[in-house]
Amino acid sequence: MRMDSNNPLGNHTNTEPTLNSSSRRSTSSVQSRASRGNSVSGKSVSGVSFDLSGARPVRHGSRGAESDGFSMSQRELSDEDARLIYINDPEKSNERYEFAGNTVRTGKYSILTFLPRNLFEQFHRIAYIYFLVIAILNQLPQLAVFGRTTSVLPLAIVLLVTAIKDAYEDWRRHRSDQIENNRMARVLGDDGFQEKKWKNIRVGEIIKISANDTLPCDTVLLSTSDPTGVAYVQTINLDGESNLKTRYARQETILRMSQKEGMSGLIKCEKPSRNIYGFQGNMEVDGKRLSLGPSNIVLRGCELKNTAWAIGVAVYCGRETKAMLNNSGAPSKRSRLEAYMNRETLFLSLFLISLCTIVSVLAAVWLRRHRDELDYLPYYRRKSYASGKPKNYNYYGWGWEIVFTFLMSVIVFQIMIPISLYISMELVRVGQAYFMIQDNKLYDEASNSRFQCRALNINEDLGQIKYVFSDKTGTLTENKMEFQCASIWGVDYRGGTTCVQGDGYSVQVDGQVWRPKMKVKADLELERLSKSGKQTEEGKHIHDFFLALAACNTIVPIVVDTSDPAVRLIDYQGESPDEQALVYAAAAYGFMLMERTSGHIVIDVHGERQRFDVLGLHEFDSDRKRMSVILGCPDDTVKVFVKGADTSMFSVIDKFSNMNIIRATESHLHNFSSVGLRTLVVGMRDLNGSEFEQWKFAFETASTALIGRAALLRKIASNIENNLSILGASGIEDKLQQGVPEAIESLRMAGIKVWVLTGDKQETAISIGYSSKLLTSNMTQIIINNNSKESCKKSLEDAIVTSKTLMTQSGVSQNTEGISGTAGTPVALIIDGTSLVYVLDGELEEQLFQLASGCSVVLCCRVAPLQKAGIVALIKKRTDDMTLAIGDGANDVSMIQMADVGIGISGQEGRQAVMASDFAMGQFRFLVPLLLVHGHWNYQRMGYMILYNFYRNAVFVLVLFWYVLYTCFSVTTAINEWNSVLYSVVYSSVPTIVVAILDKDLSSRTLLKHPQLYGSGHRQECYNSKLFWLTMLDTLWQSAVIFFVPLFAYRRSVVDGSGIGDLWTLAVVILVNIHLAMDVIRWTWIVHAAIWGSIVATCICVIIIDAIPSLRGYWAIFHMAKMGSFWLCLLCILVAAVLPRFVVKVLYQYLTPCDVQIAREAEKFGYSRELGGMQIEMNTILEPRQR
Amino acid sequence: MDPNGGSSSAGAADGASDPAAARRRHSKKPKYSRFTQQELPACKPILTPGWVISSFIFVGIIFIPIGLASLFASERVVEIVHRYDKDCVPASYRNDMLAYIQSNETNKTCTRTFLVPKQMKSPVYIYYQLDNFYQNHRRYVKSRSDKQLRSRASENDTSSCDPEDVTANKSAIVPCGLIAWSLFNDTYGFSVNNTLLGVSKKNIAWKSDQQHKFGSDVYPKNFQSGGLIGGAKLNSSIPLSQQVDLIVWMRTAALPTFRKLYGKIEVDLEANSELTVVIENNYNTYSFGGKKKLVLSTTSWIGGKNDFLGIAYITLGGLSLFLAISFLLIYIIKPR
Repeated sequence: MRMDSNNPLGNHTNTEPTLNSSSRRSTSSVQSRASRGNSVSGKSVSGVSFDLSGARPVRHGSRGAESDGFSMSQRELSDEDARLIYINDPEKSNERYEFAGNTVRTGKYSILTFLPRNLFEQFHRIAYIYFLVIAILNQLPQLAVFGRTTSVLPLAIVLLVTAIKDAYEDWRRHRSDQIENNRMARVLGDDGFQEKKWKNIRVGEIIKISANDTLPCDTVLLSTSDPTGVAYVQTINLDGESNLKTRYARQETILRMSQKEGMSGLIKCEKPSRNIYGFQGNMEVDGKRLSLGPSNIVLRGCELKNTAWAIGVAVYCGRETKAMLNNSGAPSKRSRLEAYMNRETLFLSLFLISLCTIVSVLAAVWLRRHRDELDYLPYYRRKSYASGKPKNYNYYGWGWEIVFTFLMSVIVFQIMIPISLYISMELVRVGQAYFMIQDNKLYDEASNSRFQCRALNINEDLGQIKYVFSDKTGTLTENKMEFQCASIWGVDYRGGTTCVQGDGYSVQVDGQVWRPKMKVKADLELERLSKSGKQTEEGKHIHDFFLALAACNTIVPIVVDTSDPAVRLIDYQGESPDEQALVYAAAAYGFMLMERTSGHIVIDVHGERQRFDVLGLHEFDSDRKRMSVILGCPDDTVKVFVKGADTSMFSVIDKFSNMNIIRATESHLHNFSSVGLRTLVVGMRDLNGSEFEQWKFAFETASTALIGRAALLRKIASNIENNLSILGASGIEDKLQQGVPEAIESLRMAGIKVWVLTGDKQETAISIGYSSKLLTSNMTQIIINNNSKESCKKSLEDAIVTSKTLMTQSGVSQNTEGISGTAGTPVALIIDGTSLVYVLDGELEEQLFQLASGCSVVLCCRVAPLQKAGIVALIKKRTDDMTLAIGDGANDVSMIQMADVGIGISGQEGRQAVMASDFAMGQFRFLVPLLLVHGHWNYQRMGYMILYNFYRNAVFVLVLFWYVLYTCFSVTTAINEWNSVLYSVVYSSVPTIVVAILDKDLSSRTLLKHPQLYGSGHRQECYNSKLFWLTMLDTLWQSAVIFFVPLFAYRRSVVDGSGIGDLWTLAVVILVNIHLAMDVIRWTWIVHAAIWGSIVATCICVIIIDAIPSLRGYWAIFHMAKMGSFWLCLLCILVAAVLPRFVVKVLYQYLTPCDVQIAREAEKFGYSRELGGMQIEMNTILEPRQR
Repeated sequence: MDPNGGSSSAGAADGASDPAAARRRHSKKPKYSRFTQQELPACKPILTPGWVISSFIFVGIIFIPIGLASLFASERVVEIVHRYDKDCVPASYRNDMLAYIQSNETNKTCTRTFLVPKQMKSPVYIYYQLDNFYQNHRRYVKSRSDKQLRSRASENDTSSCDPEDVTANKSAIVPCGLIAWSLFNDTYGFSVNNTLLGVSKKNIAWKSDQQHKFGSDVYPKNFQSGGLIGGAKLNSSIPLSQQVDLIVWMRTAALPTFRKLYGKIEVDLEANSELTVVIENNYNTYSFGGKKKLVLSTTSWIGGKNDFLGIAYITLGGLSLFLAISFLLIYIIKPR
């Protein structure tokens, strides 16, 4: 899993295999399309903008060599694609092109544009447009069903609330922009460096940055306080990685800057792009062309560390900086439930249309039958005689009347499409997110991180996850590397007793004690041997081995003061945790890396400080999968040290000498990886003078090459990295995170399939599989590990047969219920990246899917980032099941974005995964409470809420509809317009929101204890078509009861329209609230307050409305309430309407109870005796934590 | 909710001399409260057999007596309904009733006699009942001006009163609109055993309407002066707040068959006494096939004579008891 991509801008040296470029090209059409798009559009922003969004693996450049695999790195920048910057000449730089200034505006709106833009954005919602159209229709005099204000009010309220929220957020953004823009920086003017506000910095200006300052814009380094031009930067603001990264100024510019005569030159670089790990350009200084790569640019937002000052020229400013271009919000996904909901909304709109059609057809028939009477009908009076000559009044002919009737009924029945539902859903999700964030169970003490909800619209999807795709390192494991053992010169130093000695190894510097920050367990035997020096053959190899570990890396030692002035700690900062572990290990064995600059390193070898010149460094790249460093040793020899993944290393090791050692090392490597250790192989070679000269010449030529530099450097590296003699191998342990085996067990019991996708070796992956309980001993493993399409196909077919026989033998089909492990022999599929290349290429996908869906565990090893996404896509394409991807590194970004739900672990590897994710949390084990508890709740609540909202709006519309049948189909409403408008916004909305946020069908204890309960989400128990139609039937019955009981009770009576309208209003509101109350599972005081409160509020509103003398229904409610029949009607309606639902519910719960129901009863009655004890117990546990 | 929430966590890890203390200081651990951990004390009702059966029995026990009581109340109401629209047209006009009602020459007076079946305690309410008259029609309902009815200042506020808003010479009609225009204008005179009975119009309109909806300074003007007469004329010297028939009529009915209070007879009517009604049959329902009925009724606590609620309650109560027994049987036959 950890691939090149998680180590930005640096060389990288762990075993992680990556596919070579040819296989990557074939992995996925997405990538090839992306790269094709790239080569067509050149360096345009659109082409590269894929980068952070992860549609292809994010790759990182490195010093002197862009490992950027795209063709663009090999191409000359054409003038039209480039931006030209005249160094120290902002006027000239800015005259031709309008580069952006350094003013940053993250605010979306200004005071002037706020109204139109905000409205425009809000009306992107289709529901809003629908209601806008209806409100506009209502403004036509012929169609004015409601008064002007009442028809616009609900939409206006919604728009206003959202606008206020947006305005507030935008105001905060403006404020922070202002602070940013007014920060000061030092810019080279006519007389030296002067203070200047950030917002006034222009492209081409030379800026001086001091230590711990933040960069105001993207700058190309010209010179630093370090004579070799090194600058250390921290990119925590950019990608969250706290370790230091090295950036370099070109030697030529350093010279130039020191000459004091002012700098001039021309930089030609690519157009602004989002790729924070890529930069491409060249610089012409004094007629010389120098190439510029990602290691020469420091981005806005980075902080300069450990470097006194740095001088650079601004190349991208303001919104064109990479940080700003990447400043896009959280990804937006749509939940599955919402998609189903839209389908049902479609049904409802058909229903709405048919209601309107019925009304207009009936109205047409009525008008036709009474066409002769219309002129004189006292309640129609088509003709107006007021102005002498009789003329038609408000009548436009039969056809038009029908059209108008149709449109009026659309207006009257508009809330059939539940607008309030969309707003309620958003509020509910915010509420649910609040409780997820607040949950102590999802808080990670170690990293002090809370749960984060980044996407607010897929909460309920968490309740229906069927597949979990997990990354391994950093996700299942802690990604805190610990050096465990080494095999040196064919000897496995593992058996000996290991212990941490007192304070570990330390050195004396200027009377102070310096020691490594982290202690490493050291093997006593090995320690003794390493101290014995270079005299013995054994000791020499051990010496070289640890020298390689200490030198062959990009780690920067940083000395930190401690509270004890006599002791200082060396903190090894680097981008690869593996390298850090190796350097700490080397330090523990007496090879302490003391100092690193770009030109040399200082290593303390058993108290003797030695200086090595770093003559060349070939960074890690995913094709070679190794790195090398060429050192000039104190004894004037030149040596090349190489470390890398075993596969790549054995191909460059001199096979003819030391065959035994190689064999022994191989077997040790196998042992290491089978206990779950990550392995690296170290080799070295002496360089003789001619070899070195040859290399040096080639290296220098390549470094300054403008075309194909990366390829050239790779070739040179390959040339020098051969005929190595093997030194040994290291084993690094990546510890499992706490609670991972239990979490996987729970997930599996919940019927969730856990697939692990890792970049690790097969053996490592399998051993981690065992330790995490993903694999168990009773499983049959099917391993697919092929090198050609044909063999891959064959083994897939064989595997399908095998797995089928295994499953039929056991006689239980396990893939439907998902609760495997109990069902016969479970099958585990282990497949490697190379095979996946062939599989994901095309026709084999189907076979893999068949095979994989039958397996209870799938382990994919050595997969590339895009393959991860490919596997997720494979499942998404072929099933309706929900997928969840969880990972922590940049290499998981594509997978996280591909899956229905993406979860980022906010751990060691930076924040890219978090930035791309929908939810972020600290530990893998939080997945269990997240899915089983919150996911289950959210799904259940949201499913119920959607159904309920459909119901509550439909019931109201149907009541209106029944009444229309008694009004000559003239679309009169008995319920007055204020009540109609307030109904869905005020009268019945609060309880449903409260219930959808707070109701819990089961306690979290029960849900965690019985993971099987998660199956209710898989079976879509809370929201499906059957439930929808049942609810609609119930709605029909309830609306009929509401309407017809008063109708019959007040038939042939003096009741007036407003009075009976009030009765209907109250009946509907009380009924829908009682209906909700019937389904509430957990009655807390908040729920009580919401439900009963909204009934009371409705009564008050109805009374207030009826106390306004200018309205038609003045005092009607009081006259109604005086009559006994009013109260009898209400009671009768409530009981009769609820009765069928109640009976069906009781029968269903009694005769065919679902799991949730059984668990609920068990919870209530099974635990009732221990309930008192339980609560006390909970309190005592939680009390101390509180403090 | 806070997308940037975790960013400082990475920073907390390095460099701090006492990371534990620092962590404690900057801890983002959510504060414990029963609310945030969703552990508020709650009642979790479950539909146990006991609850189900007892709730059904409870409903049955409550509903059947209520049903019986309301049936009883309804039975005690004495109601005389007499349809007169056809019978009051002389035989010669039976084929062209419209001509009869529209003609100014015909004699509209009509005398009907019927027996009082049971003793009717005072007050006896007199209603007229119209069938097939859609007082709830959209065009009709909207054709009024509440502002004009309330105050004299808004006399000319007739925009919503089409087609009875202004007269031919553009002066406002008060009260304007179709509703007022179509005011019912049949009148009834009662006598029992040849003694004249007084019809009281006191309190037939809602007090609230009289006080707040119909102005005491608004007088009828230009009313029924157009070419087409819809119904009753109003005495233009009486303010609208005293025009009780108009006020009653302006409370538009909810349903196409409706009754309106005409007046009250404030003496008891003995059983089998002969009641004579002299009807001025003016109102034109013949053009649209509407029926006119005269209703005399006493009242009870549930209103007029209506068995529906009683029957509904008894049915529901019976059903509940039946369900209680059925569920009892289910629980016995098929226990968990």
